[in-house]
Amino acid sequence: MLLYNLNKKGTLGTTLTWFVAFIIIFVLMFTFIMATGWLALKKIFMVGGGNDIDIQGNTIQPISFNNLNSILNSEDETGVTIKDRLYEWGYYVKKDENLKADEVKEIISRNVKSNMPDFTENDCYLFYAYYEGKSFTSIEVSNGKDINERFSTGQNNYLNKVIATYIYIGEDRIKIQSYGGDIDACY
Amino acid sequence: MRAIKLNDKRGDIAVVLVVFMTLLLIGVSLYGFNSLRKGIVDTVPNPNILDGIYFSEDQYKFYIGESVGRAYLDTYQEYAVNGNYIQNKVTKDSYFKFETLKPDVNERFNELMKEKFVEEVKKYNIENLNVDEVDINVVEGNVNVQIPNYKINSDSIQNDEGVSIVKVNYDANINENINLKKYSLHSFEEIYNAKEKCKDIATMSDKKKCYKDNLKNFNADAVLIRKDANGNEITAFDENTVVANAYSKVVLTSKNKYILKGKEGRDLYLGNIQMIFIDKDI
Repeated sequence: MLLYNLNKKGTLGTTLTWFVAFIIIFVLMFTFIMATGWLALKKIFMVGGGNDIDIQGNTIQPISFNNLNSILNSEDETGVTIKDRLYEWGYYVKKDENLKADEVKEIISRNVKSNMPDFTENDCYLFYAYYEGKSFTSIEVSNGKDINERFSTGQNNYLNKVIATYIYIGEDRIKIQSYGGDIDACY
Repeated sequence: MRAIKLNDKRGDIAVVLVVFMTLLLIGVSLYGFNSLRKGIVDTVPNPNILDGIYFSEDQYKFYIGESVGRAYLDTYQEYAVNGNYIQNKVTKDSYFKFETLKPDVNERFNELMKEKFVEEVKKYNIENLNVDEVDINVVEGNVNVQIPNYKINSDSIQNDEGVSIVKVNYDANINENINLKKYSLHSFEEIYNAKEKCKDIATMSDKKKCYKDNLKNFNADAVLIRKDANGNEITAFDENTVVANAYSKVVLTSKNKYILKGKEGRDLYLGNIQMIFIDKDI
């Protein structure tokens, strides 16, 4: 210990060492704190990763793709699927063959409705197909309403909650949506 | 300890700092890990985020199926109209003479179909999809499309303050099988086999029936064309009529209608796929 007092250069060296160490430790700590803070904020879980995830709230699935897919793959009286009828309808719309388009639209509407469950207090379904880029070219079907009526703003608001699926007619596309859930959507 | 306190004040401050900072580091670490763990077992306030993920997965499968179907029909139409299935293509009166099937017709057909699939699937703008990573295999009328570890990310759920609290990343293994039989067409091998069975039948009505029986998805017609030495088609016969050459022309028309591309590849039309060829020179 006596040597420390006698050797001023040694003391300076020790101070410098601590000073550098302090900076390094401070930088490391700061980085670590920032990283933990960032990780703590970013709450990501992997589906199927074995984590426990509690689910709260509404568990009714208004946007199940199975609903839409089962409607699209159902067949009409002649064995043609609704999906193929939609292609046909889209083709006539594209070619401005309105009479033929309306004929096909009626077949689609009738068959979509027949494939929807009966309207009850728990089952309200909407089906919507729209040829993008053309006015007044949509097919609107509900199990609670007459097929010839147009959807109200309220019903369109329900459809806006649903992810749209598309099929292509050349470069043009038909937007398709299917909603099932809230009873108010059928009024 | 006493000696250090008396003789090295600067060292003492540094040591105290290190001790406190270490304690702080441990504290923040514990807090950080606690927070992170809380994130994993957190409550998802809105299950629709999961529905959205699965919806997207099913939707992408649907788009892949549609793109395969579109690519298949376009390729089939191109082969049927241009006689691309015929080995050493020769025409007579603008009809293809169908003698031999191209030995690698399936491979070439599948390659073209894959190219068209890529064009079609691009239309859907599927998020994060790298078409180079899509693995397509075609075996006996079944198309298998695989996209391993395809990443689907949900939108973030935000709390009342607008801070993102939950985001879902899902590694989907998309493996979609599409059976081309649902398009109600026959492979070119089946058409060739039917041609080999039916070509030697002399009566046109019997020949027509033979094609119909062997190719259930097509309507068939068979016509005997006879020509004189000047190349004119003979429609009426008398004792002086001399037939210079004759052949039987077969017309196969799909029973189903499809939306098809016109010759330019742009104009669409709703119609049957038709194949016309000469099955036998007489």
